[in-house]
Amino acid sequence: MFSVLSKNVIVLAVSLAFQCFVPLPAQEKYWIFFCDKGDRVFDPFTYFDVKAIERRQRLGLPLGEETDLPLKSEYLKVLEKHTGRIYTESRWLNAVTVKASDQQLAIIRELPFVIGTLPVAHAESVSFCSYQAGELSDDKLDLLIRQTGRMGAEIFGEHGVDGRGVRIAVFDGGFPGVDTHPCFDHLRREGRIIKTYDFVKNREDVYKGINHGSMVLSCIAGIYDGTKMGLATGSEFLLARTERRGELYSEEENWLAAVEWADKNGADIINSSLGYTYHRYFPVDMDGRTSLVARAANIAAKKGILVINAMGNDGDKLWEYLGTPADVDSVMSVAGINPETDYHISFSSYGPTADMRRKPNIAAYAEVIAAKKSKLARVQGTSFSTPLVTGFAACVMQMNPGLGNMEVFNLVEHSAHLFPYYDYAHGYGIPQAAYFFKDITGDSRDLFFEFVDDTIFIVIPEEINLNDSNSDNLLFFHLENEKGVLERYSVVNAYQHDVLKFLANGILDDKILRVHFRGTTIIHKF
Amino acid sequence: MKFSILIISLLISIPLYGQKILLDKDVTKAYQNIKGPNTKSFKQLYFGVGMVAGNTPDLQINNIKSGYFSVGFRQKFKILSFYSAGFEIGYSALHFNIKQAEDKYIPNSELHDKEKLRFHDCNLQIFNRINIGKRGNVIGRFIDIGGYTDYFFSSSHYTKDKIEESASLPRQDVFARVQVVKNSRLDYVRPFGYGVFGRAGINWFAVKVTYRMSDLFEKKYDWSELPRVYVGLELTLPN
Repeated sequence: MFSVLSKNVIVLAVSLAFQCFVPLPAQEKYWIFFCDKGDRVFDPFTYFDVKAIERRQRLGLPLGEETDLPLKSEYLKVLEKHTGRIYTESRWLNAVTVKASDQQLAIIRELPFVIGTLPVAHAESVSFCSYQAGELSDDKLDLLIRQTGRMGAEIFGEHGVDGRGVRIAVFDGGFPGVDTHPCFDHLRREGRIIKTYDFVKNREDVYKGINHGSMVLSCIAGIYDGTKMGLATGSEFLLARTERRGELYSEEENWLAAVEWADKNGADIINSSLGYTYHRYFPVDMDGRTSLVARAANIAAKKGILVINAMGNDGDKLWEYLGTPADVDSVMSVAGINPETDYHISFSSYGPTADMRRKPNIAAYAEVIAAKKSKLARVQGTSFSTPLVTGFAACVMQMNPGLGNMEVFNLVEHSAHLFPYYDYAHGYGIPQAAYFFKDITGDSRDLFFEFVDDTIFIVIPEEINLNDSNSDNLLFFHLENEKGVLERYSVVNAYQHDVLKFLANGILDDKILRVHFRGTTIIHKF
Repeated sequence: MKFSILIISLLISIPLYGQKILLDKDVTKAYQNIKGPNTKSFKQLYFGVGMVAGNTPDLQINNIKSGYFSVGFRQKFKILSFYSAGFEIGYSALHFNIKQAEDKYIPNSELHDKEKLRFHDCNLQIFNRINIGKRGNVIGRFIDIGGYTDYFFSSSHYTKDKIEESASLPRQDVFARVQVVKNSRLDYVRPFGYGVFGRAGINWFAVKVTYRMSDLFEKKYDWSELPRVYVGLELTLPN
């Protein structure tokens, strides 16, 4: 009854439908968690790089913990027998990834040493790039200077601080051009790319794949024609490719494998521009505990590594909030600032976490000049705010070699231009090198409260010049409830001296009002 | 005093007189009104195109040139993590390109250079959706099984012929080279229809197979039915 053509149409449709569901009958990737570890014999001096040993000794951490012990080989053999191949091993989580069908998974779950299974999640690179490659025009050169200048590059430069001696691991989708681009000449010449590993292809060559990693690295340590693109031009690097080419999606397992590799090889800082959001999670899962990467990031922090992660680029999208592992307390989460306005850039994801903890921690420009494979480009994304902060943190570590990762974390927060003011769009603001070298506290005469009956006025004195420059006139304020959670926050362009008026009615009882203007923060408790 | 600039209160909105608000976030509802494809209620717009599959001996159609376009609104309700149900309200334009065979008799035996039957309908569809695999706030992989009913608010029979010049009909008397005839509100078309469909997809893309159970032609004409199977692709607008 059907013509040949019609049959072809149906065959095509059925095959398309089938292709949609290819993974259904096939195997999916799972994490398999074990109940205990195997061989207790562990020699940290052969397993760890000397820098990893130094970090542990410096911070007073044990040289070998339960999480450092290898997996039990018998368990691996059994799983290999059932599934054919072990893809990733995680000592920290005491788990492996395998591909298994539903039937195989059912058998694996029954194994006496298996305490749990979990599907492998996918991540999204938290950047998007509006490339404008080519020679640098004056406005691009201006941005290049400001992207580090806003944090005080000149001051670090004057004091010879460039992140020297600090080892930074960069997780990204590939680093093409890092082996040839003139912006990285100094790293190659001085042998400061210590190790590389491609966790997607299981090989050492990372100079392939997407050039996102090259751009990120340039914002940490690149030098263009004598101008610093990032602040840690003296640091040394571990480069890990964790994302697949083209898709901009990566598997969680690569991040987990890379973080253990970074620890083993002595990383002091991890720069990660990946975020895990709606593909596998709901916003309510952004609680710093649910995702595996959150757990791994926590372990990394406990081992003395400062993990710096982008907030994400979903601020103007349906998701709106941060991704994981930016939701972890001990991860420094970086928001994006618009270099033209000096406040939150629209796409930068917002905090707080799902359990209302403070995020982001810090912010930096999210529109920068970065090194592509062979040229420079103007690019956007919190992916690029993150390496700017990483460079800053490396400088702080260099200046304070005895400090632990969380102490550096706190110092970077304290140095930020809004501190002690805080909100869920900017964190504490953009870190400032000047904090470490001179007194930059604001003048309390810049701003004051005036009380008239039940009304509180916030006033900028008449002698303060409110010029036309928007970034100079930015006034930040928030209302914090008794639990320490912000209920509302705003940024106002103040171009009149009488800025705000609050009616002190009962609704505001027990709430704290903080207002920030030009380095000064004033506080009132209702 | 000229302090009536910007009044902030949790009870009243923010009147703005002198300052410009650049960013203002109310956090009290954070994480409470999460929207998205994998929430309790989700609306979306869709577009579909497809071909007519199969043929009948009495009324041969050109499958490549026959097909449909559809657009509509879909409302999905999540009932369990793996099961949803929903409905769609849409519009479809369906046309059959009729092959010109010697024994053709539907809707008449005249032969033309081109001949089409066109239908425009509005439709209501209901579906059951089974989702496969763990997912976040995305549509994910799914299979839909559903049924539909439609109302043909417009039907037409369209023919197109080149006008041949002849001695009895010279060009200067015709003033045209092509004759198009369109007969509308066809008596032989049943106004209401119904059928079933299956759909398989990933996120914003799906393949849909529709089977029309009702006849297109009124019974009293005793004509062969037009093909009942339509196969198409559907694209949903991300929101």
